[in-house]
Amino acid sequence: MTAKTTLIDVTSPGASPALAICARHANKPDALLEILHDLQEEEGHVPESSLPVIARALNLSRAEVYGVATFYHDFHLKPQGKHVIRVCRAEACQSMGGRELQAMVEKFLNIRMGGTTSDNKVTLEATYCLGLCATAPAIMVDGKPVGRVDAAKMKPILAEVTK
Amino acid sequence: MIRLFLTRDSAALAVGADEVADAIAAEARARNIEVSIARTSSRGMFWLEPFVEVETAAGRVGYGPVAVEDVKPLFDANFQSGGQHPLLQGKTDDIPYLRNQERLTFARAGLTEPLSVEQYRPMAASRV
Repeated sequence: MTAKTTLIDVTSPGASPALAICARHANKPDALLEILHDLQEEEGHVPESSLPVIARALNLSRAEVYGVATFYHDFHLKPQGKHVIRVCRAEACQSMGGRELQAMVEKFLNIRMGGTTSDNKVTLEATYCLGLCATAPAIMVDGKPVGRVDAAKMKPILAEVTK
Repeated sequence: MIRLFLTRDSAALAVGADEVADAIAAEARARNIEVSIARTSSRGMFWLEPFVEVETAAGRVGYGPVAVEDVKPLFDANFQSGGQHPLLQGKTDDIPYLRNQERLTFARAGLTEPLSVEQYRPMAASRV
């Protein structure tokens, strides 16, 4: 039996963080989600330019990688603000004043849901749902859950993230 | 050694359970009172979170919802031995919400530290 010819990718792993991360996961296509997580952890977002790099490394089509990266709203193709505030918009929080809370935060930051302040300090996102219905209305500030949010509780948080 | 229990469920964290636990530890140090704080799963009584339980001779008694500014008054009220305080909810097992339930899959919820096999074993054995 003759040995199978292997095409070796000679691109240096240092050329792209995505390539190094793929290599760390042995370029296995079933590790795509972990790779996207790692990349977002390292870079703060999943740069769109990294998608074809990942596709090539994992021997997947670009469409497949793009599909996965855009299916999960937790993956961001564009950089986010330094702080991320997620406001729960699901039913329980809405019934407990979540809409008013959202309006207040949007007005204070002068951006809409999904937007980032012009100084790149804060990104505002909607989320459905944080599972904190019993302590609604709830938000998440840089990964930390905050429940029973009212104006008094929101003010110091907004002051901190816009500092 | 006073044994205290605080929830580590995310709903409790969202209303400041970590900050309350830190405040209790700091206040206990300042008063030279030896306490151990176990971080359990939740009893499910989220309106009482952060819920602080104290082990007494009569069983666990609970205080809630406890804010950081309540910690000093709680020590003043001698809560570490079940003292009277407006936040005192009585014996946790006697709170109607719990007393009127028959818990099966959630029987151990809120009692132990979720990752402690040592705490799990005797309770699992007692139910077989």
